[in-house]
Amino acid sequence: VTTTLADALAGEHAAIYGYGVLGAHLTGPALDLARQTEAAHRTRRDWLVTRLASASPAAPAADPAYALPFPVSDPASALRLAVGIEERTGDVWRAALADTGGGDRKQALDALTDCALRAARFRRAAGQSPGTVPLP
Amino acid sequence: VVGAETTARAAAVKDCLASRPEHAGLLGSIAASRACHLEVLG
Repeated sequence: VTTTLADALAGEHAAIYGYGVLGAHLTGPALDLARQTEAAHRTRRDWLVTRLASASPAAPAADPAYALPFPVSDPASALRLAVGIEERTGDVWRAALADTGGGDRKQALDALTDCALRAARFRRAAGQSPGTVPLP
Repeated sequence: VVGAETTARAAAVKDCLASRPEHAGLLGSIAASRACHLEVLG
């Protein structure tokens, strides 16, 4: 259980870093969405840190910086990165579903769903409609 | 459609939380997909 939750924590660390980068290129409603999303990732990170407080090996700490998949220099690339972050973070939470039960699985399902919803919102912000995918 | 999606989402959530590990990921994706459909449908 702790391995997949540790992977989820590493994903949340990376997501928070990414929003720090991309937020600088957004304005208006898209920036509001990015801020709300970053706050949601911080909440998930905090839950995982508490959940894994006594885990062995220790839960992963955030890296000082993360490599971005492409340069982020304007609103379009910022929104593309946001979609990618939500998809990738959703992937690690989906993986955690198979390895958890009870309250941990509920957390993982809620997190996967939140990532899917936010990815759809960022796709729509980028002009894609309806912005959904068959199986997030 | 909204009613069908709402019912299907609830069923997917319930089954995901109770499923065997090998089915949990797929059921979770279905639940998340239904949630997205509902948001788009408003």
